[in-house]
Amino acid sequence: MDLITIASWVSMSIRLSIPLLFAALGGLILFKTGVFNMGLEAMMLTGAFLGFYGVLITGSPWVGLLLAIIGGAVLGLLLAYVTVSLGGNQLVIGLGMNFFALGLTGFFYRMLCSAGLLTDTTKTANFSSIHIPFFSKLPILGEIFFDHNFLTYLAILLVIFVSWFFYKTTYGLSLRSVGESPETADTAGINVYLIRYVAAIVSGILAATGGAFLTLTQVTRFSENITDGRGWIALAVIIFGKYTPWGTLWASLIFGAGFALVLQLQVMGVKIPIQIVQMLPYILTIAALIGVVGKVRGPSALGKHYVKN
Amino acid sequence: MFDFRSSIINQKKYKVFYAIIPFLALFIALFIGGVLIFFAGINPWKAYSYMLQSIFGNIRLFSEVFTHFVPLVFCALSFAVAYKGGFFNVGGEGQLYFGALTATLAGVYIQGLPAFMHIPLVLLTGFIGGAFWCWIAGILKIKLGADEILNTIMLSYLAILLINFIVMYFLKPANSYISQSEKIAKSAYFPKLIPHTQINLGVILSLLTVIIIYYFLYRSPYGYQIRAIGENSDAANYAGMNILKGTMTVIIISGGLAGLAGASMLMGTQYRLTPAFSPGYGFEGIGAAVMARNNPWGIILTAFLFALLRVGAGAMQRGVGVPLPISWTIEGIIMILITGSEYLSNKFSTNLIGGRA
Repeated sequence: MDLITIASWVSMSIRLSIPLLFAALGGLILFKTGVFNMGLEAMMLTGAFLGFYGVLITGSPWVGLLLAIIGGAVLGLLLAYVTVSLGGNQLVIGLGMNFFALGLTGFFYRMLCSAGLLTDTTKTANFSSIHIPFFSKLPILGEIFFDHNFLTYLAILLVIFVSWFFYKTTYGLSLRSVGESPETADTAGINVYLIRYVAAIVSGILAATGGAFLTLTQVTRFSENITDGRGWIALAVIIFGKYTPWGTLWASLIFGAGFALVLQLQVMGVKIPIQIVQMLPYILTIAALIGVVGKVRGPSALGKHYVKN
Repeated sequence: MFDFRSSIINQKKYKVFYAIIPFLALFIALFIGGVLIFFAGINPWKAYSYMLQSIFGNIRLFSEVFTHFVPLVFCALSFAVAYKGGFFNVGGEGQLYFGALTATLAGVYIQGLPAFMHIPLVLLTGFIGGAFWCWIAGILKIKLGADEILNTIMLSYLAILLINFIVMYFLKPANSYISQSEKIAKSAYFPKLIPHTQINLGVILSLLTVIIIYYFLYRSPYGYQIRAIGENSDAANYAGMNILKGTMTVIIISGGLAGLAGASMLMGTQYRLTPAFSPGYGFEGIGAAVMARNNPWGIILTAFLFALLRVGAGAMQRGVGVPLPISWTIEGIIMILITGSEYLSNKFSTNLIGGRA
């Protein structure tokens, strides 16, 4: 491979990893408070549809993003209400939400189609790349680092922000302590329910943004089940990233690079079984779960319902 | 003074309430579905009645319900058994695929057996395939400490990709362009119970399995141990039960049941392995089990309901133009409502019986 191919591969890797990164960061924030988010797929799919719907109706990707954020927040709120307040099973609610989102987005999408609002060739406006002056003109490096849309840069900034928030602020400490030992946190005067609610809503917003990334930047159209399991790969990203923000970044880049490699090789006419590479995230995650890449420890209270006394 | 008689009455009241919740959830979900249908510009009453009329007025459609019913029963039982034993098996879909793979091998490559030997053999290999894939999850949990919720999901997606790969590169006949295995031998086909319909031996097998699982879980000493382990493994350990062996048994049975779902689809309706073999029965089965609160008898009802919704949505789409995904929406709402109502039923049991359920 020559340098230009490598540059486009790396650039594509980044593009493919950003939706995963958004969703995984969202999932991570909720995981850290001790609540499973098995609804990442539902949140991404909802974000993808609402993003598409917003831009289809108004022509502005910003409206799409806003709708996606609202949709994600609503799903996050639902997740928090059922698991935190009602003490429902954290896994089953996620699976239920996935069915719900798959059904609802598919339902409305088909309604849009039959209403004649869109055809197979409908293309909508999208967030275009920000050509950073001077830097984007650099050979090779320009394409890799300085020629992405604003959501990509936002995702990277979020990693830095979340990492700072988790480990350098009092709120972050409170959030992590809720995930480790809600009883102790409660005794120390931390509002366990409030933190879990806020985390769930933020989680929904971020995952939905990751989904909206798919329809507002890459393909600029929606299709049924467009997320195609990305929510579960995001879950893999969280674990493979050892429940840390920076780990999440590296993990999503690694998985993204794998998917980009397959596409690149297919373009070049090299025939390799695509499934082998698609299996990679799952194999790596299982390896991480059994401690091959060093100890992976989730929050102690993960999955346990907390009842305030 | 403890009033014994009123306590019994209250328990009855509670049981009625507990049993009503799934029906309430169903009605609310159907209502919300109706609102959606209304938004689509279709009279929901007409749509639902069309759905029931077409299913119960057409033997072909009615029999199609059973093509979904059989794998759903097996998948729901798979989840329920594991749940009762304290193992959260979310990977039924992957185990279904793996069971279908091994069943395909036994169905395609073993030829010339009479049906009464071939059918049990293929079923057995399907069971073993599913059990094997779940056993891996069990080993990862028990020996290596990998949380089963996460590893069964990961293994599930891994299995689907692995089987896609195997079908495409190994099982596909050399002269075929379509990625699918050859058909299994005729001797491994389930005989039809009613000719020219989809109602085949699988229906009887699935119902038999419900009975077996019920007696195993609730009437056998071993089942009692398993439920004890599922409820409180520390207490069970203290009572001298072998936790490891009990959990492993549950894992094998749970995976095997999901494998049987794959085998029964293969032998009853599909006859060959394809990359998109299952339309998500493994996950839908979890929904059916949750709605039935993991009760084997309840699973017959909920699996039938979910199958009905699937076929009914298809009929509504063809007949009155309701978008097909309505069935997933309704199922999703049911799952969400049932999950949310765990609290309500706990609260009622606290109020009525005077203790936590």
